[in-house]
Amino acid sequence: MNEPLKKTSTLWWGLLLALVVVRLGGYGSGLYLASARLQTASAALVNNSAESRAIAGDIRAAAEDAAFFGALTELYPENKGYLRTQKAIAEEVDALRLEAGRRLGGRLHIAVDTRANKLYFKKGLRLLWEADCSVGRGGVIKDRKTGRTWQFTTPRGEFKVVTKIDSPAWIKPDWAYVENKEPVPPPLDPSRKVEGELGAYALNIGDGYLIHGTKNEAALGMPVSHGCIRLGAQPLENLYKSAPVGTKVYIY
Amino acid sequence: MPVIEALKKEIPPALLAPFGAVLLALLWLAGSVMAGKFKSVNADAARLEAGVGASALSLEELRVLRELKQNDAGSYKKALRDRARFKKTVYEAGAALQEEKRLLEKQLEIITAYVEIKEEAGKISLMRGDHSLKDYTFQYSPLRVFGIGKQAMPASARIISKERFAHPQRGSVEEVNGKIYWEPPQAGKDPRSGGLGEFVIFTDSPLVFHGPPPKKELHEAFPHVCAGLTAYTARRLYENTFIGAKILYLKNKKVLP
Repeated sequence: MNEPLKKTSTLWWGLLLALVVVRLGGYGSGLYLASARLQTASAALVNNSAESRAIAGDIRAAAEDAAFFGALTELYPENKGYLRTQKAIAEEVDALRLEAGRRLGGRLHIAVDTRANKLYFKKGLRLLWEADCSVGRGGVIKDRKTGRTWQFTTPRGEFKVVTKIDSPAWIKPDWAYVENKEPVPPPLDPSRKVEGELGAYALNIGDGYLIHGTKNEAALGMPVSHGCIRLGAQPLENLYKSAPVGTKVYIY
Repeated sequence: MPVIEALKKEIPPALLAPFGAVLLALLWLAGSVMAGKFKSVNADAARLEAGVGASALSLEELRVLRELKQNDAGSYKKALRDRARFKKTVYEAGAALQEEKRLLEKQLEIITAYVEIKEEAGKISLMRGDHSLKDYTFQYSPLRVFGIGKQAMPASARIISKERFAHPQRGSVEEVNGKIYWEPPQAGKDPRSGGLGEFVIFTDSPLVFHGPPPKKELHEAFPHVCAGLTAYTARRLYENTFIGAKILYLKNKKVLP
């Protein structure tokens, strides 16, 4: 083969090869790009699917919540006559306020609910504060030696603050010894005197009954006393400072 | 190039052209296969992208639905919270109202209740305002005096103490030098404990309400004015009267025997 023909032939072969390679490369890169698109779309679809599943879970949970709250609303007790009854009670209370206001005036007074073991401090009809208290626990003890009997109830009725005592000492009465099955000392025996038992203050409401403090504040709200009215330290101090001698005490 | 050189050496020049043609044909064929694959993959990618678009749309709808549901649940929660607060307020207001009603009723009961002794009729009445709640009979009409001389029964008196198993030795509270000395009812060693019966009501006058005394001579020695109550009446009076309650004696200034 002569040299020019050889060159021409080589050129043609080269051209053909280049054409084929370019064509192949074009399709290859196209395939690569399409494959990348496919991967991107596939990943997006997977993400969308995962998010869809999560959202579906959220929707189900929210729907369950809504259904639960809806059912709860249905379960809520609903007495349609309740407000009517309350209105009737409010009218009765208005009438009572009128009557009580006329009789009590605007005076300070103390009311003790022996069933609820609560003490209210009021000025006329206005409640200034309330506190848990302890009243007489009831029951009877008997001294077998002398036949004497005591009943530990708080009497009901109208009393008034006779005296106010700071740092009262307690002179233990006979029943305290009888109750503990101890020998009863003579009436003026120094061993009867107990300091601190009645708290920091005492208000004497007459007939042997006091409003005083207690060492056992946890029992306030329960009837545990021997007839006196026990109060916590803070309300007792408030009462001592606010209720003058002569303040009426209604115990019911 | 050693390969080319090797080919040149291995392949005879006459076969080089057909070999090249076959190689080119094979490459062309591979290109065609790739073109087919490319079309197929491209179509798949287009379909998938359309699917992704649809899924994004659907996802957006789901997001909106989730927001709606969560808003619904939030609204329910808020409504329920408001409702619970409302119920609590209504309940507490109702309870406070009933507590005040009970307090005022009891206070008024204590303030307005009194005892009326109708001597001529031989009745003791528990009164509330103008109404007699309960009448009890008593034995001594007129009232009888024990242990003291003749004296006028005042037109009114007040109940100052109610005691079970009482005896004349009264309780007292005394303040001495800032210290309280409390002698409760029945302190001491008085043997007359329970001398006036089980239920006893003391007044700020000589009048004492009590049931049948266990010992006649003990009763008669104790200075007081007596109505002579049965055990039942003494108990009912004890249970239904208040400390501080007024006692009205309808035969005023009567001189007792």
